Amino acid sequence: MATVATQVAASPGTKSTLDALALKGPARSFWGDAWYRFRHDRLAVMGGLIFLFLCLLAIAAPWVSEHITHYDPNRIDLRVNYALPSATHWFGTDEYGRDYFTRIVWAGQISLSIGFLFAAVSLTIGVVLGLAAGYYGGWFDDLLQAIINIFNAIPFLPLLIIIGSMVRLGWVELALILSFLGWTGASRQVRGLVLSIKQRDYVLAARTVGASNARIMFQHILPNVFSIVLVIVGFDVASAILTESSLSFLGFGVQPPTATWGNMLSNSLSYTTKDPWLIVFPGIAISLTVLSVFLLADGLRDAMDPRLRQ
Amino acid sequence: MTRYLARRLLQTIPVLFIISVLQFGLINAAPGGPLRAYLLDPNISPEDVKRLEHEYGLDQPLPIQYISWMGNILRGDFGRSYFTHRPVMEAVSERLPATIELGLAATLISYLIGIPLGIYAGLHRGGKIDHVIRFFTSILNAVPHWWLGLIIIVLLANTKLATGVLLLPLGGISTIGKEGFDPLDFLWHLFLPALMLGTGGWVTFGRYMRSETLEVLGQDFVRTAHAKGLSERVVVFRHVLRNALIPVVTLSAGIFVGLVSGAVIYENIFSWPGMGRLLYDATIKKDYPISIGVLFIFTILAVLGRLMSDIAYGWVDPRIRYE
Repeated sequence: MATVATQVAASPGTKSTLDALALKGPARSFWGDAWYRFRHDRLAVMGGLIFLFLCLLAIAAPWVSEHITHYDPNRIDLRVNYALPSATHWFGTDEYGRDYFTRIVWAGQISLSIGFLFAAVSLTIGVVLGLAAGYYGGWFDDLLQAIINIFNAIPFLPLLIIIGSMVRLGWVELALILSFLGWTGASRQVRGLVLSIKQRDYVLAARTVGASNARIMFQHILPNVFSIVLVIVGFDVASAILTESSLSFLGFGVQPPTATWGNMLSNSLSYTTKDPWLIVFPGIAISLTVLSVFLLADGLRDAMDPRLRQ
Repeated sequence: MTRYLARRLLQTIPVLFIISVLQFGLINAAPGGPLRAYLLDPNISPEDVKRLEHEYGLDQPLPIQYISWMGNILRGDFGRSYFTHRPVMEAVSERLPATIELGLAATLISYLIGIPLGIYAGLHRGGKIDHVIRFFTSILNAVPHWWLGLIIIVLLANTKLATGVLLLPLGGISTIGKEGFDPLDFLWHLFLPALMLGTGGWVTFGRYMRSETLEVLGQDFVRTAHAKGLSERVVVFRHVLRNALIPVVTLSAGIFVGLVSGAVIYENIFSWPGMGRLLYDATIKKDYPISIGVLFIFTILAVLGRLMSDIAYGWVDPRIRYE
């Protein structure tokens, strides 16, 4: 607290802004205030815009390949294989002459779908369990913590490799398996937050007027953990994209001919001397997506942290 | 301390039990079952396989099979490879040292780079170098480090093709054709894989060290230390560093589990003859006894790593008492 105060006092110009905010501006809600701070965080806005663009590109992949690049992601044309990046093939072509940019865009659709499905399912599991564990405590909490300890001891990537070799995984199956393994982080964070929230007076007040446990949990506590959940969504999307690409790179994730950034990278390894570009673009796509999500999530966290309120 | 240790060790038993049940489930879920390797062998008829299944007790109910499987594991018998028929433990223990060496080197690198960088950035907050460090760590945090490793290998290979100079080896643990163990050659081969595997660690450590240093710098005892005239060096090393190190120690367990998981992909890229590479090769061939044996050892390493970091936690933070 003290550091923020000194910082504000030390920087000239902030004071007048503060006055303007405090005296002239209308009272802002929590979300209004968060939005205000988010808008003024240049890196976060940039991350958000890039991420939004990548999502739109992924959604519009069929349209992009039909109207912009005019290539089908899986159309083979051996006459133009190993083409270097040019005006006709923005990112060049791979060993089958498939347009690399089109494939990257379609692969983005898969990566982002896995990311969002993973975030949705793992957060549903994690939030519900974390909420219940934090709220009820007791044996249920102990049991959940024991289960989380077990999950945290399992090295995921080796396990996923073994599962991937036994069953052929599509992107939906992959996202579901990842969610089943990866809900523990969210549940631990939510639980920690619920432990402190349930001590607040308004929870006591709700209980006094006879609200049921379910009502207190979902009407009074859940909205207050929502901001943390939003940030976890970001980190979840990013981590699912990274895991999927590692797994597909090793050959146990989504299988060709469906393009994913991971299996494109794995494929490009055979042609590093012939066409080194093939190894560059999928990696940049992964990095850019993950970086934009991280910037966005970091910005959201700062914007919604009441301690940083100005 | 001894009591705490004993209790912590006891707590790992249920964890290992549940994980062993999961892994037993995996073995049985494997297509073809445990005798799969013999199904295609022309010397063994399907009737023989049936008879063997009966003689080996594979037609018993699963819980009974589990008990005898677990009994074997406790005696160090993880079964045999489907292909080479070598005992799993023999194949795994051959590869264990390489993985441990790579993991330790990566951990060491992540401490050596992450901690000084984080402290420096924290002490010089808002300065030019702090901005540069934060910029690069944000980017490195998002880039898959194994992809970076691939790019470096491609660059090294192309320099070699262009100039004939091999700056760093492209993979492997020793120069091919070299007799005996040459420590310098080993370190030369270890450097790049360990640096890449350790990147995730130092980026994380750096970020935590920075925010933790900032936190500690604002504490009263640092002001007191300055006020009583201690030199900057003593304040930083004795007071700031020791307190800021606490989260690094807590994080170490997670990092270690990450390193173990990561071993699979890095050992594969750098042809490092460790357990990760073994797991990959075995899984490609669907040699499940080996894959699952490696997974089991990985899990035990991860559990031990967590245990060690819990103990170290009390060592760096005297406020933690083991009761």
